[in-house]
Amino acid sequence: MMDATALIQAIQGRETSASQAVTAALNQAKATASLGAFISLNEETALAQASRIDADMQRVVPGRLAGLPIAVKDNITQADAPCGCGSKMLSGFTSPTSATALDRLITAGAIPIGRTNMDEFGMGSSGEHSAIGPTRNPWDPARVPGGSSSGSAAAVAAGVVPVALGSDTGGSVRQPAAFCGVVGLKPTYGRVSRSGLVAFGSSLDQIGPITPTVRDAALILEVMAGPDPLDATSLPQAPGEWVQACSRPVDGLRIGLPKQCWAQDTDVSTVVQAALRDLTTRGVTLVEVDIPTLTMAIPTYYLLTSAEASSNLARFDGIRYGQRAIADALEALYSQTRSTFFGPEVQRRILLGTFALSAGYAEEHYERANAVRHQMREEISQALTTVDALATPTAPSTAFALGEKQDDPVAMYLSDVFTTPPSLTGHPAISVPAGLCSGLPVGLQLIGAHQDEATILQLASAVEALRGPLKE
Amino acid sequence: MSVDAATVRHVASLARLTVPDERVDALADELSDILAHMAEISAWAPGPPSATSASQTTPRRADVPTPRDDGPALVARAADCREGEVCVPPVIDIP
Repeated sequence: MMDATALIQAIQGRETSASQAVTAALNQAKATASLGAFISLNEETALAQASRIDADMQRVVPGRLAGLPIAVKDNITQADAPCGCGSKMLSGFTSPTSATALDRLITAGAIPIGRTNMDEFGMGSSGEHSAIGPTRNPWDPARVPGGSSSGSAAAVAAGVVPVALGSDTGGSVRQPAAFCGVVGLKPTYGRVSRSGLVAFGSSLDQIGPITPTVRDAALILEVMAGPDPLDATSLPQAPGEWVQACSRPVDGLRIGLPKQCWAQDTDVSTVVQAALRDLTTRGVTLVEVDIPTLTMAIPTYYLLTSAEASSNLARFDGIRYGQRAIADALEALYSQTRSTFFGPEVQRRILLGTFALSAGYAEEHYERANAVRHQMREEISQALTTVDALATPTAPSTAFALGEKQDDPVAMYLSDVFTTPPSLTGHPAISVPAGLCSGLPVGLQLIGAHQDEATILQLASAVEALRGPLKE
Repeated sequence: MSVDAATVRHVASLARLTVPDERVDALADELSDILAHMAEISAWAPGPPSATSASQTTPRRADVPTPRDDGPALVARAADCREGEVCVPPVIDIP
């Protein structure tokens, strides 16, 4: 499969057509159906849209993404398409509107071919917590692809589409990208509108692209970023020239290595260190930095997001959307609907969040976690005044076996140890393939200053060029 | 901090979830285990604020209402709807 940039050029140069590109994507989706990457395919509408773009190509200047097949995570709304969030709760729900981010991609000529599988409502790090069934890793189908944007990462890694949208609340774009050997970008909080993204942790949620190359991620971000009156927290700044940033030399840049993230030598950290050493041959300097609150990222993240989720998911009560359990009184209807149609991980987090916000415990848990979050933001911002970016492994391990951590929620939560800090603090972060460990992909995470996606894209492009394509 | 069965039942009722009796003890153990990993937060004391904090506030637009014309489309997606209205079971049983 070509990357997005090459495919767009081929369509514009008439070497192929939008219809051919969409047909190839749909065929590959069907050929790899056993991965469970897609919940549904929009075959008819995608082919009709491709025909229109091919016809228009003769008459008008094509959009920047004209004819590009993309896949969309099942929690990002798309007009007249199902939006189930990987949950039984919303099965049968069809959205009347499209998310702003997706709308901008479609306006530029992108063609959504299907809805990708995910951990229910974004809660999971393995792709196993989906009511539709698990997603499998294209590198080894006995292993997880990571989560929660499991289907989006698997679809790109399996060569179905060169771009898939994911959402990232604590690493849900970056960690599956790392496990599947592709690129995942979480923009600065507010950079991409959340309008149309079904809320999990509203103060952390961001839509981000999963792509085969860093340049493709920059391209998609340029098209979908920017202010949106439908999202009160969207940033007022116009998109940057991020594609151009991917070609800039990196000599003279300084990367900080938080000592809290490099305390243990592991097979994964060895691969990531090798990629960082490669960067030093291009004039990059590596320095150790100290960010003490990073050790509290996991408890802080799980307390705050569970609290926000317990509030956000209160709307799913059997009245306004989706499914309704049979009950003859209102209170019973609420509780029976929620207990029947939410999966076990979602119920666990709702309980944890409700507990963290309940009288007598809110001060000790929720408010204290908020204070840690503020301190962490200050510490990371302060560190980024002395270096241009921070580097960590994206995840502490490679893709683990299906079922390995399913009965141990704490072990599962710990896979997010490196990705949760920039989610809590709003900083942009990217995962780029660093190499292989026992035949499985390893990701390098780069964290940038607030609104400085350019520098992490610049550095990630250099890593990509130095390390080359992943090969077994 | 550990969570007991009574707390699980109380929190489940606040969260509008029905927890079967046979799951209560297991859930109490799971939540206790998770909260044990969160103990570090309860013991944490904040440091002095740094000079960078003021510039980190996310700017927000004015929160003004905007007209919507998709009301009927939204109502039509409710779990049960008749004649353009969302239907709910009775709140109070009337004999």
